[in-house]
Amino acid sequence: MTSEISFYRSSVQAMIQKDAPAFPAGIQFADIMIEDKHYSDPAASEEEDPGGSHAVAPSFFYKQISRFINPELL
Amino acid sequence: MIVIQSSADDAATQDVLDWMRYLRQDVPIADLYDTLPVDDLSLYIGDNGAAKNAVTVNGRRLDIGGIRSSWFRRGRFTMRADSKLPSWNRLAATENEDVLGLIDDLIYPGDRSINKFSDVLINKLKCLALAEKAGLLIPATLVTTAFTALLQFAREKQLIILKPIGTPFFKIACNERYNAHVVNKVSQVSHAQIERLGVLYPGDKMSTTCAQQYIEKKWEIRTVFLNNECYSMAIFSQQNEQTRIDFRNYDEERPNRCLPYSLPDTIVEKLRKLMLLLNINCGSIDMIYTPQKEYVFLEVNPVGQYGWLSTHCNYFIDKRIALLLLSRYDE
Repeated sequence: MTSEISFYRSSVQAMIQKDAPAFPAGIQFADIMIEDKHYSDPAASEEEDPGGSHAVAPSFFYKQISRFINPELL
Repeated sequence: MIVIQSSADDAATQDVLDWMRYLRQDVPIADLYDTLPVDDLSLYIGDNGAAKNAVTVNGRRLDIGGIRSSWFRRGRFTMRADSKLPSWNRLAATENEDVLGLIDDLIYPGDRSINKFSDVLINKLKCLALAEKAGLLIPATLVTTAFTALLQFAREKQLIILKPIGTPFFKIACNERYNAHVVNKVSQVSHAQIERLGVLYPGDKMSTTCAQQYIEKKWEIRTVFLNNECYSMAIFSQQNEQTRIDFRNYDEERPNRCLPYSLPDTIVEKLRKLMLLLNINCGSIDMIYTPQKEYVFLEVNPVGQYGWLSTHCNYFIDKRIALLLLSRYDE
């Protein structure tokens, strides 16, 4: 699974670099998280985003954070 | 009637509702959650017809004249045309936006409401300009599509922040099993890092990029602005590498120290002026206190989280919201 995740992450990174003019410059420093849709963790629903940094964005991101895997943390 | 519109999973809304039920049991409350369709409506403009205004939302009739106070926190109303002609549906969608705007004004008239749906659509760039107009210090900011302009800005400021103008997320479907989520977070970058990006922009053109001068901070301040009062908290985020640029990169293992904080009266007055210019009566305001003892305004989120600040500082903001809604109901 780790190699698959690394592959998709690298692919997204490469795509963002190749198509750089279509994105704001900040995207080159973005975090890329890979979501495994087959993974579920009921305890993850207890997570919250206390300061509301992502109030506009889908709340599921922080609520189901354990479904997301950042290869740098592996 | 008191109207409360929110999302079903917002704990803060339930805390306010708990206070309202504790304080008063006789007040009818219409609590509306998430995305709700407008089933039908009749809205009269002029000709003394306001008393007859009514909207039915998801099967629930709201007599506009009977709404004595209201609170918009989350959620939205929708209207759609069901024609088989896509071109007509697109046209109707535009018209319906105007109607939804009118509903927003009628349910959330400002003097009897806390926030309104249209507050969600705040333009953060205009907000910065208005903050300066209100007399607040703001970080030097550049919005540009030219890489050379960004490079020059980075050269002048040495350390800059790149931040998303709107939502920081987007999703890419990799395959049936995996999605990639790109989080365009606030990043601190040096002139040298920007210089290295040059190879990616041979034509100098890039999508609109927002850059700000990096400002050293002693601490960050989150203020909840409610009913013309400021409830502030200092967040000591500077010592933690993870939260140094933005406390919202939470460190769950070693949370930042947070304390109640009194803003100087001059800053409070400027914040009041800003909220007046923005025409919003409630919001979460982020500021920085610098080593030079200056307050620098960063942004305001009209429907931001406050429960965390309220709990840390014993401000009981949920109770204050409940009391405010009830007092307006009684007026």
